[in-house]
Amino acid sequence: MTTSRTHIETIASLKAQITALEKKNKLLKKNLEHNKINLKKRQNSLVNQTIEEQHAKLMKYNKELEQFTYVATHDLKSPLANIQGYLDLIEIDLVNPSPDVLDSMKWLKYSVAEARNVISELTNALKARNNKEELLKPINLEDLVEGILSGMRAKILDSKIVFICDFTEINEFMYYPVALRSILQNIISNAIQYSSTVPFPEIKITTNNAVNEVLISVEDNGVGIDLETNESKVFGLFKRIQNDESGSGIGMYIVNKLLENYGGKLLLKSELGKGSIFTVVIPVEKV
Amino acid sequence: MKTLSKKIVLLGNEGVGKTSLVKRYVHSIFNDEYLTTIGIKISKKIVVVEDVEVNLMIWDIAGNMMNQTLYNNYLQGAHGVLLVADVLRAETYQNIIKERDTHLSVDFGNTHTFVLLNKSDLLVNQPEVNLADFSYDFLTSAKNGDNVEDVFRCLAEKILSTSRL
Ligand SMILES: Nc1nc2c(ncn2[C@@H]2O[C@H](COP(=O)(O)OP(=O)(O)OP(=O)(O)O)[C@@H](O)[C@H]2O)c(=O)[nH]1
Ligand SMILES: [Mg+2]
Repeated sequence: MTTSRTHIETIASLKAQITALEKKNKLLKKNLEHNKINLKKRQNSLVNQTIEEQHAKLMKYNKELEQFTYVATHDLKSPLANIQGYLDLIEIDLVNPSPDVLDSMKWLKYSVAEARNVISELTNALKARNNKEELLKPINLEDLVEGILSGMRAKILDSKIVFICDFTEINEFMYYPVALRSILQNIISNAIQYSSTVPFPEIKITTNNAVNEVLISVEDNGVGIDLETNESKVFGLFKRIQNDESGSGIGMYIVNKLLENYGGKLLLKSELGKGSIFTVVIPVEKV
Repeated sequence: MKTLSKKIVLLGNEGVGKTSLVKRYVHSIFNDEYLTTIGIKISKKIVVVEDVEVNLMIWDIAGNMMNQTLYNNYLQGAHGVLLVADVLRAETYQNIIKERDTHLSVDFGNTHTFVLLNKSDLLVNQPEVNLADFSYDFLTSAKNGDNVEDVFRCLAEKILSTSRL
């Protein structure tokens, strides 16, 4: 009798213990849940903070770039106007100039005019940043590239690079002339820089006509880029693959930014020692 | 209709009017301003010769490349060559003839070649120019269009007639 009673008591006490344990367990679980949530909250706020910081940084860079462009264009305006003025004076004073001198005068003036064009285009581009639709215009690629190459004529002749332009597939389409000019100018100078050291440098500029897209390729037979180790450098701000040459490396960064803003993308194929192909892909309405 | 592609190359000194001839032929335009060509520009025009549609791929090679025999690579595969001279600058004629005899006929003997004297519109007030001094195939003017269509058509026909043999 006593034993059975003891048993019953034991069982009751065990039950009580179990209930107590269950309660504790519940509490622990609740705590755990709570901690988890807290942790998440803390992580989230950390991430948010980083994003905010980066956003602020980007905004700052953007603003700086804008200011830089503004100052650069503004400060270039008056020296260029001076050069133009003195060129005009020299031309008036020239007595019996040789054909060579006349030729040089012509190209000097052409280059100054080109530089002034670029500046006014940049100024317009800055103004148009928030209203890009205004600039959508018919492009004549042959004329555009002719203008770019003529502006770089001295550099091209020096480097003995042969340019081959083939726009037979498509030459006219709608895009933003100011942006496209800058995009191609940057890619072409880049190509010149990377191919001027090879024995028979050649740069081909061609177009392809795809559905709702125009592809403009600039292909050089220069030193090429090892994409596996260098791809991020190609498009980075102020980064260059070869450190020995002049140039800020801002060019390809601008190209990417412009394509981001105006629509389009840049593809890159390259092989060390064989050359590179930069292809601008832009969405278009055909003219 | 059958379609063929044929490559035509224009050669000649700076300023003789190669680019102007191409622009006249392909786009029916002419510009008095001179912007020297940098490198090579390829244009396309389709001509129909009898029952064949011919894609003429026209390679306009900058005059300054003539001095450097840089253009050699780019003549590869040419079916026809237009050697262009400025009718008022006899030396540009001498130069293309020299180029033809010492170079083209040696390395590219099978390529059809026409000699063009361009800027015929400027001959009106030039009694001292004697056309008998030149041996040429066409007297052209990119400015007023004289003979321009004919040059390309004849060349296309000539190329086709031999490729049929
Ligand atoms: N009056 C006249 N002027 C011409 C004619 N063809 C060309 N010109 C002018 O001659 C100059 C040179 O013409 P281009 O066609 O640019 O000469 P090019 O042979 O292409 O010269 P490069 O590109 O430097 O090799 C331009 O000012 C033209 O307007 C022509 O038939 N008549
Ligand atoms: Mg030309």
